Amino acid sequence: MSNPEPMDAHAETQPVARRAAAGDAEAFERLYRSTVARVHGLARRLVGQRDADEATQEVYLRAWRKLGTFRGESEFATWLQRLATRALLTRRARARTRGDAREGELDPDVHAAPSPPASGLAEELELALERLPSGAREVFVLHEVEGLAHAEIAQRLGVTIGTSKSQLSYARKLLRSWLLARGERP
Amino acid sequence: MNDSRSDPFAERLSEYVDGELASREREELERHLEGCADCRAIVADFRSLGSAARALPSLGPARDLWPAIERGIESASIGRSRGPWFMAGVRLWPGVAVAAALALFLLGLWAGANLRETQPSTAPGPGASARFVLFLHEPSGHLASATPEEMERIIGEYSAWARAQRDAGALELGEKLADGEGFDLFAEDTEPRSASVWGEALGGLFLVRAADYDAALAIARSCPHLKYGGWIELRRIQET
Repeated sequence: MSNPEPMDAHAETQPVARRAAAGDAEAFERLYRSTVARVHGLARRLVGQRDADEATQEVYLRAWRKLGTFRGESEFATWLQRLATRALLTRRARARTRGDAREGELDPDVHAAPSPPASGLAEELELALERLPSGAREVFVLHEVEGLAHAEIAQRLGVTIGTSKSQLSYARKLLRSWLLARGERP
Repeated sequence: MNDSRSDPFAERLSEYVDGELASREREELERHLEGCADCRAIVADFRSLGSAARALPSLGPARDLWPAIERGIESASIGRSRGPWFMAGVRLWPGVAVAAALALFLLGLWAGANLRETQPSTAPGPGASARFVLFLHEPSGHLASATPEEMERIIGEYSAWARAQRDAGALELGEKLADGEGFDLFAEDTEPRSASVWGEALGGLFLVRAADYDAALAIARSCPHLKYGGWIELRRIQET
């Protein structure tokens, strides 16, 4: 299954978002239900499966607070994706600041334990994404999955464009080598 | 798996896939690709990775997160239809515009006098290794219906908090932004838009020093701004 259908047409989203911005929790729930799969996917790929649920909740609480800044020029899902990306990257930065061991880098050269057998490229790719070093994973997810340009990625991650490009190249090489080693041609 | 690390063109393949090479570099690489099956395979695999990534299914949560989110909304009491707690039951007087003007005047006093008194005169506190900005967001009409006595008490709380942060070596700057004015600029607009179109404004900011986000969050949580219907955006300054 590919990414879900976008939220209701722009013209239908606007009144729902306005009602939510005015404090209508039922309207906000509608927005939540139509976008949570994509947001949770982004959360899982950026912060990991264990923290994805909590991180997703944080995103929606933040979205609730910031609905007043949604100006309606873009799709709500697009606005939410940008907000979610910022919130999730901030969460990762906080974890690194705390020295959270769960956020530690993986050394691809010594990683030896094979993942459980997966069926198909999509599952293999998800497993491989989880193994990427965090910086490479962030750039790959934001560039290849979310479709952000390097300039925007660099600005959000607080790195140079050159670093963003290098991390993407590194991620691609690692993913390719792991997938080939498991018999999956990308 | 084939190792192309010795191939000088190998490092440019990722940029080539994204169309980011200058035309001369691209032409040189394409001439190389004509004779290098390994690099051609890498290019094809990088493109396939991109396609596979874009086709990855959404990963919805295994359980419904809405009940927890709903509780979070209710417990935070941050609905936009609700004002500060002290506004419950307060009628809007015919002279509400006067009250609003008075509030603006008093808040101006707060910004002009009280905060400048609290500009730090001491060195940063121990363990303060980073700078953070607390952006103070407010719903439209924030505190506009407060009585003068209520405003005076609120201003006193802000001032006391700011002084405490200064004395702890945390506060470096505190400023209130002028209400009801300002613009938002977008590249596609021919005219600037009036700020806070959708009922929210940036009211002010504090610049503080703290050891890390946890310490900065503790400072932010103690700020009286959260008590009166506002919310705080906390961001770390990227030091160069």
